[in-house]
Amino acid sequence: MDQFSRRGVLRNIMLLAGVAAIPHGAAHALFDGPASLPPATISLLSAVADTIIPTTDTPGAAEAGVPDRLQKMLANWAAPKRRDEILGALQKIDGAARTEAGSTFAALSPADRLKTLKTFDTAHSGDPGYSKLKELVIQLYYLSEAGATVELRYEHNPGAWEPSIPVTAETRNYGGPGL
Amino acid sequence: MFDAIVIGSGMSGGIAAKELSERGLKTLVLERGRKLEHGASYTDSVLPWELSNANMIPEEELARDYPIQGRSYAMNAATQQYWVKDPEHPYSTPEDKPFGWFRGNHLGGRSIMWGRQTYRLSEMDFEANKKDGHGSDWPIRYADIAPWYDHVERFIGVSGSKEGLPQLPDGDFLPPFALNDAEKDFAGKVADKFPGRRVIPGRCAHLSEARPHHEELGRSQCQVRSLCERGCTFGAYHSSLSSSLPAAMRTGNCTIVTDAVVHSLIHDPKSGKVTGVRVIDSNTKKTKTYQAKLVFLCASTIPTTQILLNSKSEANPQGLGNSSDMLGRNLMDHFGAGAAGLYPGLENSFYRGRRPTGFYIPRFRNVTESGEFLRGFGFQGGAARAGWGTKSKLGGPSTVGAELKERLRSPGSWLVYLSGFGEMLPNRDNRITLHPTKTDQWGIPQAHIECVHGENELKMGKQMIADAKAMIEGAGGRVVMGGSKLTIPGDAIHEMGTACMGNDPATSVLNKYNQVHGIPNLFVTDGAAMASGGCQNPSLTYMALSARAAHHAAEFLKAGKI
Repeated sequence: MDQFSRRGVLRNIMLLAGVAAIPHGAAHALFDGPASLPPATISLLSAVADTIIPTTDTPGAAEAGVPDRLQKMLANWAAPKRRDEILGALQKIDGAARTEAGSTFAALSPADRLKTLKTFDTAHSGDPGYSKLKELVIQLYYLSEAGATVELRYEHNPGAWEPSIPVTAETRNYGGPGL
Repeated sequence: MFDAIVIGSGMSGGIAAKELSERGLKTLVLERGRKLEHGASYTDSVLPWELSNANMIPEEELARDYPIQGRSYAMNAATQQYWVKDPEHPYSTPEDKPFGWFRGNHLGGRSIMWGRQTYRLSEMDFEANKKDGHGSDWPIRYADIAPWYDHVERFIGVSGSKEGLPQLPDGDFLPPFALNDAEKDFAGKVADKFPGRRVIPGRCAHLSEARPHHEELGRSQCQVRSLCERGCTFGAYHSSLSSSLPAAMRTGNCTIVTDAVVHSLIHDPKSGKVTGVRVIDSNTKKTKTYQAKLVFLCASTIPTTQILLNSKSEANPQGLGNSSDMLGRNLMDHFGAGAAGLYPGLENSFYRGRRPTGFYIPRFRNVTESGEFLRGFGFQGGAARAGWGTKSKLGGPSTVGAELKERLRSPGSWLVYLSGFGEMLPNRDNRITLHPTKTDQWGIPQAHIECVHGENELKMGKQMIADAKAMIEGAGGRVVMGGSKLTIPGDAIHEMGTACMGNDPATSVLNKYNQVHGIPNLFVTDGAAMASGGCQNPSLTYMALSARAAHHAAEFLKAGKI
């Protein structure tokens, strides 16, 4: 649907992710890939997620359970082409770590991980695999309990509409979906 | 034998069932879809961290099962159960005339997933067909339906503000959901720059305050969660499940049968009446006939007309109620496009709660300002501060790490968006017919839907986009998104017409009481009845027509006229 149709507009603007792109060749049988990823890939995925959203004064992606969720999405949500793109992006990040720092990404210090990923991010933000990987990490983080309620603010039942409240030093964005 | 059969339990059927039952008629509601329970069937208690796959449907499943439904804004993992699997519910269109038919298959129909925007048609809308010669002249005027708008609005509960606008009549509203500071600012600037244009709180079928008669049905105040399309355990918005069917059931006069697909109606040419409703059990495929003194067809625009077309017989070779050849014709939807922009200032203002409505800009083209086209459009819209999602895309140069987290932590710039809803002219070539060969899983001929936008729609669409951009810029905003593509027919999910009301049986299907011309015990009160669409969201009008027709049907029955 055109992004300006109906009330979806605001959600579409806010997420700019919209509906997941439909992969080509949807005549594929239902994905029935390996039950889990190899340990090295899991470590890489966790390290990348935790570098995109690190621990600061609030939990980061790893503590928020994002790597586990992301693995599940790769197995249960992603179509084969999507899965390959995302795993491919992870491998490219690992490749950059090996080239620039002579180490796997997961073995780098947090500071070096950030350096490598920042450089990668600037160069690859248009890459479908990397941009979807980053988008999913961000979504999963701000949907997580830590992300939505500790880093941001979320109430399932706000109870009342307050149309005008002042922004203070304590003001945070709202977590949860559709924002 | 029942006094009345209501076919369909959605927006219209729910109200028809309530009104007929409350008048003492033994009423049978036939719903083709499966049973849902208010509360128990809903997914509104699922917390964000409990959603599967970031609330997305697996990609291959989405492509395979929901190629059409998946395009709906209201379709996600938490609402998946409310939308049909497209391969199981096929319909046909010409290759070059796509039509989006979005719906579910369950008790309550789209009254569960609707957008709850609630607006009256005005006198201008009821006069429009006569005035410009498109479509059949409505056989009623605003004065005929106004008491029924009052009646339905009170029952369902509508939040809104009185504005005194002739093109958008007021009701007796529950308190409005107030505009936030950016919206107030925008409204003021629009009023200055474009005198006559108004930006008002969106009118919605939500209990901003519950009245005793709402509470008696088990409904309570809106908790401002915007989880509505999942179903609301608080019953805070009007749906068949929360509101009209409970009202029908508590009379003791109403029986609901689900999984009952209506195949056709049996018509007796001697008496001129419908004498039976043929039903196919959705699961067992066994057939059964139900009988009643009167029938309300509220199956939703397309299925209602499909049933009438499929009821052809020797006496009715073109389908029931189709001696005019107008059955199936004048299919309409709303259409639109819009724009969004960054809105400056107001950095110190925020809001709390996820308000279930935004603002509304009532039609001004061909009201207070002229247009190079007939009829007009309104805008739904709102303003909000960029949240984590928007800021992750628009908040600045791409980054990762603590810098990214810091950026997403606090509210960003305000964004204002406008989404237009334009009126389609009735066009006899926009029509539904029965496919000559393709059938559905119950052996019923598929609906073949042909619907395209005409010249008037294209001209109006251009103006709609230009007006949206001009208002954003005129108020000091910067347009960041401005579509040039209009929605395709069906995408507004307001499909109407095909069994239009009119005075003349030669050019319409229904009379002023929503009776099918020549068939006094058959009433059609859903979207199919609409002789024109206005630009206002249509559900309130379907409900008002249903209540009004039920009142007259009961009177006619009492008086022995049917």
